[in-house]
Amino acid sequence: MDYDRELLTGTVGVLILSLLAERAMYAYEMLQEAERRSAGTFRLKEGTIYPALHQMERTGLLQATWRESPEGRSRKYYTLTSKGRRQAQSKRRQWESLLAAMRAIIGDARA
Amino acid sequence: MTHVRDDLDPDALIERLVAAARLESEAERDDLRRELRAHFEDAGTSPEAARAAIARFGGERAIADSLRRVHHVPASSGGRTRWFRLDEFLQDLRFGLRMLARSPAFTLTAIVCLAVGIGATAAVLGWIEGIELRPFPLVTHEDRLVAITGTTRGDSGRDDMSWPDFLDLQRRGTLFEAFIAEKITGANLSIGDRAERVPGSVVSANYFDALGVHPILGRGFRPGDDVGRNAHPDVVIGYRTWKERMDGDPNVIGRMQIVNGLPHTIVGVAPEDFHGTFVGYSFQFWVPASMQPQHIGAGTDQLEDRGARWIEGFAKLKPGVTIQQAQTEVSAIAAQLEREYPATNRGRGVRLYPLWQTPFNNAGALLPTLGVALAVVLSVLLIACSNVSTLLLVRGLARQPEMTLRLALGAGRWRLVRQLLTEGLVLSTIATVAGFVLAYWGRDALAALTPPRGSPLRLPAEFDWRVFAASGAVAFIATIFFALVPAIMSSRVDLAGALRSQAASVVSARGRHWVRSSLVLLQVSLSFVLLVGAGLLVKSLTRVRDASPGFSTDRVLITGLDLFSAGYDAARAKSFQDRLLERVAAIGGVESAAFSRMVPFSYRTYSSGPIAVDGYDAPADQQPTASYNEISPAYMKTMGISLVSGRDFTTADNESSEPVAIVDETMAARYWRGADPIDKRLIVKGRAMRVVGVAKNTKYRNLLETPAPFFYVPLRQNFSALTLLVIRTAQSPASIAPALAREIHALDGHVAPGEIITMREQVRRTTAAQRIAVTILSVFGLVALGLAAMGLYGVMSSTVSQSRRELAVRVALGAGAPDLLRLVLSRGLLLTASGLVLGLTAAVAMTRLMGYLLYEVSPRDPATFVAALVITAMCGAAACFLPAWHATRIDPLRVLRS
Repeated sequence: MDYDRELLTGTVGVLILSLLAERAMYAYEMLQEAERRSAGTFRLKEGTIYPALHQMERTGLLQATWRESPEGRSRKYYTLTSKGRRQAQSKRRQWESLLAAMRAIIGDARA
Repeated sequence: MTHVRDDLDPDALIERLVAAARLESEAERDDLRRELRAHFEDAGTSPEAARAAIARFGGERAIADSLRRVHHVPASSGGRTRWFRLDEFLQDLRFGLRMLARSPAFTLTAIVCLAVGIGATAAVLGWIEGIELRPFPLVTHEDRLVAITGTTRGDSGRDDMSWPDFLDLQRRGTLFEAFIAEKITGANLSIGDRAERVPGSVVSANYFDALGVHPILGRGFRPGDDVGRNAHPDVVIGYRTWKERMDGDPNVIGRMQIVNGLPHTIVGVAPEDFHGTFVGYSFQFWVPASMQPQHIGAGTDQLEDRGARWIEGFAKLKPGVTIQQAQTEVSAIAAQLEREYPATNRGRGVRLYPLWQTPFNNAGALLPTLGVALAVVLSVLLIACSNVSTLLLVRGLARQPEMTLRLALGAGRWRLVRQLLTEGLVLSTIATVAGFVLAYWGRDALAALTPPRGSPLRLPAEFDWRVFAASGAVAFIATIFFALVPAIMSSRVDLAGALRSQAASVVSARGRHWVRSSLVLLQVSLSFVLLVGAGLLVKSLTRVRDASPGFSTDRVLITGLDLFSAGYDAARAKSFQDRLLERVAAIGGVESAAFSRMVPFSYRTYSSGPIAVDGYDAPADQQPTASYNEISPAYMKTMGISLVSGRDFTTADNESSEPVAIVDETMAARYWRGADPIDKRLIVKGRAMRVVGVAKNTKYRNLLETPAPFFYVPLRQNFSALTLLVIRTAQSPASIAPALAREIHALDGHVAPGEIITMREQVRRTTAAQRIAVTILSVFGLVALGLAAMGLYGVMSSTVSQSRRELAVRVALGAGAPDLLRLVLSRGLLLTASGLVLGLTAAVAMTRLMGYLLYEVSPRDPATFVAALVITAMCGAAACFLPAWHATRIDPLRVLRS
């Protein structure tokens, strides 16, 4: 199914914060993970994740360190800072309320 | 190794992105390089995998832009971001310029709108600076200069001062650095084979020193140069005369120059930027006050006469002295003089004015006009700003995806607002520069709009740092006004908003629509106010034109004849006048002709003096005075002024007969209180005259004056060689000029008539202030209406284009073209009507301020209001019609499918 790209672009920040709330990841890993969990829905233009990650790092939501991946390759891992954790919780709450509202609307429409 | 095309090579892409990000250190560049390499490693290293990874990676340019922007956004420092960074500003500036260049039609429209508004504001501010606030370039401490005139108790107007009173002020004033006397005059300057009538001034000897103006050649006047009847025939000449008429001769000092028939020694040349101290004229000569009898008195000495009032002037306050303190002191001195010289000074006072209220030159005359002009141009600027604001809002809609992306990338709303404000700043900077060019180009427009009185007027706009600073500030405030609201509205995009935008654009646009509608309301109401203002002034000017001044304006021609300057003594002048009247009367079509020292509505001042009437006791503190005109027989008939009772002057009323006078109705009513004044005694300056006639009231100085006592005396009994020739004829000035010149020439080849004009033209020239106001209001009223119509059209067009889906549904459900037309038109007309209601309220409040510019027209004249209402409503309807018609052309199938 084709989604409006703009719709997805607006979710990049929430996506990153949600994934990193679970554990530290590197960029490609996040892309793969998002695609896997959304059963292919979140197939972003992959390059857009880098400006978003760098921006969040600069604003103090994330911090990055180079370390080895389980495959033995050197990867740049991102983790949430305490500010990032707070932001992740806040975004999560916003999304949940928005989704509930959307579900109510769509549900009503179907009914 | 397989050859990989550059655009399919991940390494090449990585290098391009690293370069595009413009990172500051090698370490940062290396970090980004490693991270991106890791990405393509994970995606697979085979050519096919690499190709797929590049395809999934996304648009190189957008990502490069984002990376660059991210790495140039200020990093969080201690949780707070700096609100201004130069590099960011420059980045915004470049981006703004690119965005504006991408839509030239929008950019050009916005710049033209703003340039008109800012340019007009700068021009009016320049005029206010050059005419009202700092009218005299080169004068030092202009801020301490005040204008000074005499006053008469019981009369709200102003009067001139006498020379002895002026000298007493100079001697007794302790709060003043100097008192400066001056009186405007004109002279024939004959240089080589060409004579030119130029304006000049009779001044006190301290004139140049007190003003701090240093002649570029020679000197100013010396102390004592203003003492002794015609004792110091020295002249300082104006720069233009020296440069153009004397070829800038450096050896001109000490040379003789004939001024008003008398040789003067040139003692100095004024600097190029010094034009004297009479707003409106560029003086070409200055002579010391000792030369008053020659230049103003037409032979009579008014230097010793405390009753002769002819001086206007200025005073320079000592540092720190306020105008109120100074006024207290001059009033005290005037009171002393009143006690010391009751015969001449009873009821006489002295008044100080700030320069911008100077009552005796164009500063005071143009003040209300410039006040109205400033209000008008600021309204136009406001309308222009609203228009640009509307354009920016509409454009903001088109840029919503860009804003969404940038917000998603964490740019922050303040960052977006700043970006949009920077674009606004770019627009207003270009418009300000263009506006300044427009204003500078039109700096002499005011002088061009003002009818000249013999000499070209000089009413330039002054563009100094203050005007630039004030206009710049206005432009900056305007930028905030027009750019901030759209910037905030356009940056207000969020996920929820983006979601809603898919549903129906009309709904999503409600917030913006509300703002845009308010802006249109503002435009419609302001342009209505301007139209009402213009309408009232046009009507007032028509009334002024049609008003009867009490004398004939048609078929009466006037021209100056200066026998005094031509060297005539009184006896020769009288003989010349008699013979000329005979010859003029013989010219075909001439019904009558007469001489008078003055004609109504002239810039020169009437003779005036203290009067006494038998049986009339003035209040103890008042000295009755009246102005009078010296006229020859047939003046009344020629001017069309009828006599209520008694008789006109005849040739028998001459030097050897009993002094007589004709009083006007106001004078008769005030001093004889209803009794018949014929054959009663009138004492003028101690000289008894018998009243022989009562004349109808006329206007003497301008159409708006209130009636004041006035009388006439025979020219022969009060002789002047500086007179005007008045001719009653059906001929035009142009057709009679050759015959008149021929007759004068036949009597004396060295005498030439001045400019020949009709009395109608003479009256017209006194309505300059009203006519300038009419022109300014009409021009800008129309500009405002055009801008408002544009604004309304813009709003209605974008409403229609955003509501295409909704309109298409209506069509699909069976709505016809008339329904759609009605729907859209009613919305536009509702906006117009609301704007008109607002405008009506504002106009009722604001037109009261124009009262002093209106003549026999109420500031709430219903006909004018209705006319403005109809014009604005029609313009509004026209602006809505086109978008409404477009709405009827919507193809529902295509719209709903898209």
